Amino acid sequence: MARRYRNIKEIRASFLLEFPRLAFDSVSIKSPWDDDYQCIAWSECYTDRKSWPAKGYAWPEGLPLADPDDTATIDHFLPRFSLLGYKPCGLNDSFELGYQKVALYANDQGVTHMARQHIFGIGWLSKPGKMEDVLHKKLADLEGAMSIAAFEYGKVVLILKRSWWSAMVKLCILRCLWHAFDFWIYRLDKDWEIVRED
Amino acid sequence: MDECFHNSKAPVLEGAWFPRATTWEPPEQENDLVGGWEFPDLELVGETHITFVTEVQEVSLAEKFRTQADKWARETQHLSSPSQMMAHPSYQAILGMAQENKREIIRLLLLDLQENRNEWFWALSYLTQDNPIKPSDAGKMDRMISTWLNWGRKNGFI
Repeated sequence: MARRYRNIKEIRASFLLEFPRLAFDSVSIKSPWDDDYQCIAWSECYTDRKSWPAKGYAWPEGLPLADPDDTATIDHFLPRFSLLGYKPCGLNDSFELGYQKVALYANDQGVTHMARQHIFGIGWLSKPGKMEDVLHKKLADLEGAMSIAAFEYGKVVLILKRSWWSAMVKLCILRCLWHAFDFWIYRLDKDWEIVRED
Repeated sequence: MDECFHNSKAPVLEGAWFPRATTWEPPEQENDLVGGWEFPDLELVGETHITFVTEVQEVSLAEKFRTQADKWARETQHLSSPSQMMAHPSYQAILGMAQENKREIIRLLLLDLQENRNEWFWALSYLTQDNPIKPSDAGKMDRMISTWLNWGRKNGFI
């Protein structure tokens, strides 16, 4: 495990550099910098692995993989998240009581990022690469250019949802509760602040 | 020089901000640049040149690697997509450096993996044409790093 505790100034600077739209919204830092997992694993409620439909990453056996130097498309992610009980629901990002949603971001190259809706709909949980987990209000906060050369997330292209019951059956709720407790301990000890208040 | 550009021989054109080239004449005085030029000893230049290049090459591969690796780590820390991370110019630059000294780049990649936990797994597989990672360990950083470091020790890279 490689966690890195960055002070809030450093966190703020790096987030605003990569996601300038966050300057217009409030963001809660939820976890330390950690290179053991990334956004896809975080959407699956894992913090001990990196998930991606490519060799060298955690991905269920038998599901289609993309070449490492090629793009991973929505078609690679749908089978994986259907195993976790998710179904596509277009671009409807509103909170629905009893349902949990995840959003897929993609640019011209393919899928770039995933965000998971907070269980009570107060925002979206994202783990951008190795950086800290954040709770941001809108999906658009992390959107960016579609160009491959921009190294940004592009736009939200699909939202998937599942029932809370489904999340319980798949044990995701238990994992999420454990991580919430773990991060709560972290926040007791370290600075965690809103990057910018409304 | 200002006098040349305001030469009275130059026809004044309405709306033009510079004189026509054909009307310009060089000053008659001796060219100070040519007169003041000093030619160094050619033999000394040759020796100095050879020494300098050798030293730069010895130092620069590790330094170039460090510069590009730091840049790559800094500029891709927000990315999760391996294809996006590999498309970064610094990643490609490091792969390009392997043409200069493949063995040294593999060694530097392994050392950087050990010290900074940067994800060089695909680059290592590409350069070594090997993949020691078990499918059950895929995606687990600690296990992948230790597997590659063991591979490096076994094959004499580190």
